[in-house]
Amino acid sequence: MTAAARLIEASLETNRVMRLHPTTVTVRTGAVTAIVGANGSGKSSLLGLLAGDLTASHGRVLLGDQDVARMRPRERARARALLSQDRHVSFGFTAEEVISWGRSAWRGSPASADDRRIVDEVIERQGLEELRRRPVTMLSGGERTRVHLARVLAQQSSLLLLDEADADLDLVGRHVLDTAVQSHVSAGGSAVVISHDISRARRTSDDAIVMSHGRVLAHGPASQVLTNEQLSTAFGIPVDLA
Amino acid sequence: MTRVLPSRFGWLWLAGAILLILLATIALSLTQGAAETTSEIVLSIRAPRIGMALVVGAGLAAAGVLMQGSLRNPLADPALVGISSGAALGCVLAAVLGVGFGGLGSGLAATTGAATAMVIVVWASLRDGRPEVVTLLLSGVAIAAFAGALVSIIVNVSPDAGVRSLAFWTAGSLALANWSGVIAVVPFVLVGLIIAGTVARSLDVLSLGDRDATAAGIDVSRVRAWSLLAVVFLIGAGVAAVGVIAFLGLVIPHAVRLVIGPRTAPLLIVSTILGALVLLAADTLARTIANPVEIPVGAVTALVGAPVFFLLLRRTRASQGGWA
Repeated sequence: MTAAARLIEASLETNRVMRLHPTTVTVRTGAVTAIVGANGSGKSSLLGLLAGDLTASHGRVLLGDQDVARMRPRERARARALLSQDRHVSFGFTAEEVISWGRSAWRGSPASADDRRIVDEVIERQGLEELRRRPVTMLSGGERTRVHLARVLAQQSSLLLLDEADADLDLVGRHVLDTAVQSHVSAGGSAVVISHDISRARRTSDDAIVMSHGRVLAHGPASQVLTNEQLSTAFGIPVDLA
Repeated sequence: MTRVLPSRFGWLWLAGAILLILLATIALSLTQGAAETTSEIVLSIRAPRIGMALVVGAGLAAAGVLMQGSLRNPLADPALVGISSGAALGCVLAAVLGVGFGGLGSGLAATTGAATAMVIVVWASLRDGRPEVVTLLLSGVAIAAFAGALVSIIVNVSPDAGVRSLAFWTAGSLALANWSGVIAVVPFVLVGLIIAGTVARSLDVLSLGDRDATAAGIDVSRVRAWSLLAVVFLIGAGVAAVGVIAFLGLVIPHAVRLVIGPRTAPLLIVSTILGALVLLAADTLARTIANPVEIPVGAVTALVGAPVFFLLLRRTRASQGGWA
């Protein structure tokens, strides 16, 4: 098994609160890994550590075989793309302009020659032609999410990290999202997604990490980990998923 | 907010049009004035004054673009957040110490003052290495008041008549402009514009917020530091030459953004040219409207800028609920 990313005894403490207790997990290459858990269970902390967006208080985080703390923002952005929960953009840039920012990390490199083509392709594949020239400040929450998703896809990093990308999306949006994640993974990439839509996560993910109170409760194949029993423990209420 | 010129290169037309108006205004300004139009008056009095208006106006507007972009806030303006007052204080202190006024030494002192004010304001607003905008604006208000008070005290109590004569300058005036002053300011503004050009594309991405821009591969602290350094260069020497001119850096990038959209590179180019035009027009008005008396150009820009700014506030409040 090759690893897209690893946490080695990594923990996160902010303002004397333990967001994530020392954790060791491996994200498989070529797989979709879902992170599920209640609000405040440490999902975003785990994702932030994988992204190198948050710095581990202890332990190490590896992207591929590189220590994420030693990588420059540009190197990190070439290795992984992060869609955070913040969809705000100051000033009325068009959807196309925002999507093109996904290419920032490649500026000045040979890959940059294809920037226009890549942006056009992503816009077409994500069905965003109509929104292309509209200011993102005028878009609905779901439309804005789709623009940001297109932006991180245009980044063409092998590891895709999505924090509640499905939250504002309607059925069509979720379908487009799932298709994009699947095709990213079939092309040899990996994805880690946080979602509160657990039945969908079970259908669309290969692996799953269940979190509770800043700890990993279970980690393994989605079908074995996302059980009613495990989820009931994680959420502290009876869970009954068909 | 929909742009008036939505096409990608529409801004080039606008830049061209403003440039033409600018040339016409220069021609007009050369021939208007209290004194008779002789070649002596034109070459040694009006021409350097026009040159100074162009350079300082360009610097002010470009600085506004950089501050608004790097702090992600449309209210950021060098005069509003105390940078200009810091520059004025540096300049007045240098004058008291006998450095003289209007030359290179005065420009350097003002630039140091601007940099000091910038460091204090940004430092006060930092949390986890990221500036918080409301704190920044409010500490800027405090710095502006404090530095402004010191300037006013020094100018009024100084036994040096030369320093006392700066009272007119503190309200913003181009009356003291001469060729050596223009030559002293130009390099500062040029350096500021060159730095601005190198960070323009990265500044666009900063609109995502610090966290997401970093995730996209932008070294946010570096881009912000360069932008604010450019602001110091664009503002410092200009303030030394003409005093504090408010509202230009605030209103011009706003108005231009409404027409061509928020992309930093074209915004920077068009705002720079428009800034030059507006300060020249304002100064031409300031020295001719109440002929033979001259009013401070800072009064003209505030008189026009404040209502325009008020309209922009109302418009933003109506269309997107405000800026917070």
